[in-house]
Amino acid sequence: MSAAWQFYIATLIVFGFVYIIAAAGLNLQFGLTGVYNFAFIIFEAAGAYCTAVLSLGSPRAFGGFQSYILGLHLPFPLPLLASAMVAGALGVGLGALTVRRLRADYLAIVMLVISLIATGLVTDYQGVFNGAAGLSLIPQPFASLTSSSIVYDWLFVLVAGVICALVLLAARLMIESPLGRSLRAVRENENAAAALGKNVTALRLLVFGVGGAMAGISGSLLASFTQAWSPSSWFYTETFVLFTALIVGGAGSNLGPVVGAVLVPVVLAEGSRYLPQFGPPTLVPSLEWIAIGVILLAFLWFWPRGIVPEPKRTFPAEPVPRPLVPQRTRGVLVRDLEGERGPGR
Amino acid sequence: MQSLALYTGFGLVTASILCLGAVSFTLQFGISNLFNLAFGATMTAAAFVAYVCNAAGLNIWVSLVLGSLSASLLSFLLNRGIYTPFRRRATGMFTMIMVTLGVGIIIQYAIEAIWGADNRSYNMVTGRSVHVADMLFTTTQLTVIAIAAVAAAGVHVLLHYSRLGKAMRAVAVNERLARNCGIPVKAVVDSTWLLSGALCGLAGVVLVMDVQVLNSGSGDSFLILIVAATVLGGIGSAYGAMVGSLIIGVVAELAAGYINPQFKDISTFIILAAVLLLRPTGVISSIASAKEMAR
Amino acid sequence: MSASRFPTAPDAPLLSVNGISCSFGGVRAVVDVSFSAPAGQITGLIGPNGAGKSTTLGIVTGAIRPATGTIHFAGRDVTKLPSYRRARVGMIRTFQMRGEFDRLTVLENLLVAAPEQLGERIRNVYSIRRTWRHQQRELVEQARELLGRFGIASHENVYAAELSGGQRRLMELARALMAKPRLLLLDEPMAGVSPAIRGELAEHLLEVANSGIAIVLVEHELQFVENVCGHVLVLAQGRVIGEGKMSALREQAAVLDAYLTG
Repeated sequence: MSAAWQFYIATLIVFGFVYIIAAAGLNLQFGLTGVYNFAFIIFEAAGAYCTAVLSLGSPRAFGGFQSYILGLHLPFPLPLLASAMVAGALGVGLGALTVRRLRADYLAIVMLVISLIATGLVTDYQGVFNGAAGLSLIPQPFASLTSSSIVYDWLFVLVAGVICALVLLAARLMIESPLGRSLRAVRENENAAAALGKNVTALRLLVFGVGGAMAGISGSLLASFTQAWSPSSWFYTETFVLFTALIVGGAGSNLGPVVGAVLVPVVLAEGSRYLPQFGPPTLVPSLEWIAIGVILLAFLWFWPRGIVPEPKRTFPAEPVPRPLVPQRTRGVLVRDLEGERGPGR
Repeated sequence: MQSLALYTGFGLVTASILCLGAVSFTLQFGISNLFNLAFGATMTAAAFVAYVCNAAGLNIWVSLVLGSLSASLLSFLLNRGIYTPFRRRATGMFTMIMVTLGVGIIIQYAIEAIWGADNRSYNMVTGRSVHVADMLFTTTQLTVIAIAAVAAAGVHVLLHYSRLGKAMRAVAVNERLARNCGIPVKAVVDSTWLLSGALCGLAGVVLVMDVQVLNSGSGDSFLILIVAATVLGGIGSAYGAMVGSLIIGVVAELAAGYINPQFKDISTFIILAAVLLLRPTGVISSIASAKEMAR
Repeated sequence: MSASRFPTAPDAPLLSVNGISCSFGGVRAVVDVSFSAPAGQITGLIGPNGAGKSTTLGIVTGAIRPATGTIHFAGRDVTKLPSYRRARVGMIRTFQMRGEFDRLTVLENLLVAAPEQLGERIRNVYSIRRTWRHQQRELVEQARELLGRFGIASHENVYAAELSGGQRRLMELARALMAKPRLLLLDEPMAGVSPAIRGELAEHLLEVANSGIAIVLVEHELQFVENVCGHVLVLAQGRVIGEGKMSALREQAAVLDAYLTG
């Protein structure tokens, strides 16, 4: 396989993982808890910028052609971890600001406006993240491991894949737990949930934080891979793409964000790069956006629950007889042999 | 002092364009409980229709009327064809926003697909400069202000003195009750969308006449200001929209003049965010809070 | 109905409401209402529409903040406590309308209500030893037993949105019990329930009260109120205009007036 093809495929796969991680985070907020976080993309941006300014060296290094704060030249995985924490904290902060009982559409508008404010601020205050031009030449993490670009890309694919798997696991554990059930209850009827003892505000802040952290991880990986990040990477319409991905894939399920992230941002947006370019340069991207709009409307009308809808949780009928003596299996003490077949997926 | 007058003058022009847009936006919200985020794209569409007419040789004011009519038709069709079927399914508020966003994106990028991403402008004369008090206007801008004033007055007369207007207000506050009182809700809704569509189109064309630049994103960039004006005045209230437009228009231009032209956008965003967080029913709350109570 | 049907109330009232009042936009919805609900007794709250019954319930549970007055529960002042905290100390309410979690199954609806679930704490969700699963199995059994008691066991895997009105009431009651309440506040539990099931529900409520739980019941069905409530309060236009046994209240002029004009 030629080098060019390998680069293309590796890039596509990394983008896939990045979008899946982001969609998983949004799924916890929107799919599970019913929080309409229309500012989601700014958490991804926070993670990306955080990784950028932590992995870049001092701003003066390259002759000062870009200006930004910090520049601590930290090695992998520190910037990634920091991104997750910063984005998570931002999530909790923003959540605390907006989590009062606003009408669903007002909340969406507020978040949208906050997203625009963020873009405006970053663009105007150039000293922070180099304004509209953005940051470039972001050092690649663990680049010292190999000198071959292709090998590096595949290595990155591996690392991104592992991180993606961990994020999906974390999401799944939350979704399938009683905590996930309480979040769904908040989504369905917050008054009834509060009347049964659920601290609705705390629960929403929790998913703002966890979902935000996942967005931050997504941004960190993307910025590290493409080595660049600017306001055009996180325009408010990107949140819209992720929401479309969730609606198409299925909000609230474990597999939904994966399916949606692969179909919408990857297949539609990146895959069409592969089509022969016809007409003026803006024609194909315009058609892509039209396609996204049409697909969104079609799904909202015909399949609002998405391709992989939230499954119905059932519980096994008969209690499995528990052995009287605790069993040892693979060195881990388990109380019984019931396994994972229980609720849902 | 001179710059204060100057910027206030700019503010009045912006406020006039805003007024057309905000009154329309708020009428749509009032009648269909919809935050129509396809509004900006509809404005752009009208502006492009006017562009086509204008480029074909028609006078700019004739093109304005044609653009307005096209937006009227488009809005009417969108409501009948897309928004109403979704609403009839008891679709949630957030999903409706996604629907309007989807529609807006389709319209915007259809425009871009046809005309590309370049900037264009109208073939028109801006007219000579006129001093009014200490403010400086072109005759075109004065005409724009006049159009907005006439439209505002017309809406006022409609809402308060005509049967249609009263029916519109009734349906806006409580649709079921209005229907039970014998009001032909469907006809009223259709009329509202036709009317608000026309105002939307006016706003779109007039905007481009003022800023002298037209591209596929023209309407959207103005939409945030429209939403700010509408929410500030209390969404659902046409008078609130007028007052909100005045405030936002003048404040935006003052901020641009005195602080930084860049700051115009951010200052309006911040005002909007603050209003939404602190007083979502707006400064002049009427229909908005009535709807909240009825919820 | 003989007096012995009514469970005997022990001395200290579990719930004590004193002088609460509140207004909405100029309308005085509740004015200086006081009452107490002892453990083991079913207290009725009746009155014409708009009398302030649901508002009173809302104030007691914390959904609405009163302008004046205090609420004492199990010896502590809960007036300033947010509603989810009150629920956690055992004050559980049901709703007049739309109280269920639509896209959760009936069984899940009940599971949500169970207090102190290990699996709701993040540290347990992500711990290697999945201790919460053991507790959940027990909760599932408890929930099934409750569903069986209320006759909707076969519906455990039905989405709550797909239940009939009467079934929803039963589910809500079962769910409320799952929350291990010390005080149950029921907002029109009979609405939409067929007469056949009403008798069953009355029996259930009496059993629940007998087990030591205090119940406050807002109802329109006066016969039902007479059958189960040991003590009844009549509200009209936000004020308490009468209290006592239902049979006595039926005779009082003030009460009759209120219902006729109310």
